[in-house]
Amino acid sequence: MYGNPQRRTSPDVQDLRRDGGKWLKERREAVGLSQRQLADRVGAEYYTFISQLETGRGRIPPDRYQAWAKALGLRPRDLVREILRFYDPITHGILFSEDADDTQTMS
Amino acid sequence: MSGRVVSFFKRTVSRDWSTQELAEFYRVEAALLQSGLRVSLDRGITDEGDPWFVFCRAEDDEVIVHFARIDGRYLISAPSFGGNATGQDFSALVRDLVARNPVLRPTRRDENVTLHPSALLVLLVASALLKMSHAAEAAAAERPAGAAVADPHTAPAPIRVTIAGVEHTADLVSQETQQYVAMLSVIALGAGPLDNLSMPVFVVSAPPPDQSSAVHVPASSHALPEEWSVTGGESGADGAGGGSITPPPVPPLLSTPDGSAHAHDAAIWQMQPAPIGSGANPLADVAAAISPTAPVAAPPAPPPVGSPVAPVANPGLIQGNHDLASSLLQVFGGSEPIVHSDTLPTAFIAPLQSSVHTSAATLATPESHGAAPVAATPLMESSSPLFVSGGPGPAAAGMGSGASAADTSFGAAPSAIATSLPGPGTTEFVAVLSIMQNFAQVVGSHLAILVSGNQVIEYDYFAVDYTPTAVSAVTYDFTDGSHVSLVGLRSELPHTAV
Repeated sequence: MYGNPQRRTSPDVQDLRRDGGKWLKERREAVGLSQRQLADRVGAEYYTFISQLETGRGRIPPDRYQAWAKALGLRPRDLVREILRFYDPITHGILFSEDADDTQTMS
Repeated sequence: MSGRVVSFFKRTVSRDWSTQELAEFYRVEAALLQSGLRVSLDRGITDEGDPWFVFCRAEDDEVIVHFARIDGRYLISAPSFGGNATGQDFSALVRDLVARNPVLRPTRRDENVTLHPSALLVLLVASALLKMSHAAEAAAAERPAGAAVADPHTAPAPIRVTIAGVEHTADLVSQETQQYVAMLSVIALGAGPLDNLSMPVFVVSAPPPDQSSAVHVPASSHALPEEWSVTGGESGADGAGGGSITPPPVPPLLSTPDGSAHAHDAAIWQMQPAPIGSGANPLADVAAAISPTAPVAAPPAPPPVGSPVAPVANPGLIQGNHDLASSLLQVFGGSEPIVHSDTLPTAFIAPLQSSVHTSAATLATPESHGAAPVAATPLMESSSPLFVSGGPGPAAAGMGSGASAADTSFGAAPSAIATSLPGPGTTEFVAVLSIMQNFAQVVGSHLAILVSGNQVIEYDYFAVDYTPTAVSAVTYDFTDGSHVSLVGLRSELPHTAV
């Protein structure tokens, strides 16, 4: 269902990014913030960046995760987990899938 | 590449990008793709209605440049440039960013190359992409970004490129730089289809003997036009690991197969303006290599083509011409570019030499020539997608015009400006202005304006570039020694009696 995250131009990956943007938008609207207000709270230099992210282009800078989580009313780890689902599904699957705790030994 | 550009000056009722602005963005994409630089695009509107547009790197979707118009001000943000630029003058922003982030630098500080505003936009995105790629390479190789590659045997040799007679040195040593150079050369030529990369358009210096050859010529010798010469072979033949291809005497920037010139591409703009605040005149003497021709035999004679325009003793004269040009800008709704050049481009030689001259003083009223005065109505925006030069331009430096690059206040209506002009009487300028308005309406979206010394040239750039043999000119001579020339197809020109 997902493409190699390194090949971000594959349609599946692009769909994931757009879904991620939609999720961010839904979270922003759920807390009643405009794009400009969210930009101000997360320290974005220009608020069109928020619109860009919500379209699925670019990604939240990791050093801003805390600010974004606070602005969206989320725990940082919850935000990161959701972000990873869209930005890096492979890593997300390893860390958070139901089989994440299963270990397989190489014999 | 065509000379069509986009007006980023006038906001439309819809806050989205105008059709012309979008066309310009997509033109950038086309230019980059043609040159092998893969990008993807996206755009959107904020919840407040402000538009944005991004160029992204194709392989990983990383944003290269973010363009936006926020609260009426333009923003350009490129991560690889390390900052944002904002302002009301999009052209000025582009010029500034390109100047601050050059990929190629003139080897000599006193030299420079002028490029069309559209070309500058392509260069901006390409530069941002190139710097982004180079930074990524540097990070991967665990060396500081911008540092030269250490291994001379595997790394590309420094690239020196001569464009329009001006030698440049590449700042970034990378394979992408060569691609950038190839793209830049095509843009500098304005040589039509961008897929014509097989044309060798620049002279590449041979690297020092102790460096591996990385001289990159985008064409094999058999693709050279007959008038070009090859010395030392394309690579390695001179034993120093490099060779050179020498163009014919006429700078390739101004050459076309029929020997005429792409004036519209040649008449304009700075790839690398002088450092901000330096005050130096950054315009390149593009036509300096062209042998001066005999002056046009018409009193007062315009300056010889190819030679720098002599300073006019009366600064009010220049101001008068600038005001005239500015009034035209206002009349045309701020959508026309005003080009300033120290020299007259080659393409104007023939038409100006054979120009019909009329004394502006004899133009009592436009009615006397059977032409009704034309109301000063702005051209429809959709018919005139043009960059605005952003104020008086560098040629006005020192002329005392006082206008800043971001000056969007172009003064009073034409009649008010006419009464404030020195030297010529009001009637002269009003009459000629009316004629120029008529010409502008006839030419439509192909209109451009060049100011060179004491001469204002209003011209059909499409005709000048692509049908130069069909172009003629009429010139109106003012009592103060200044001139206004209309250059275009014979059918476009007014039938003004001498």
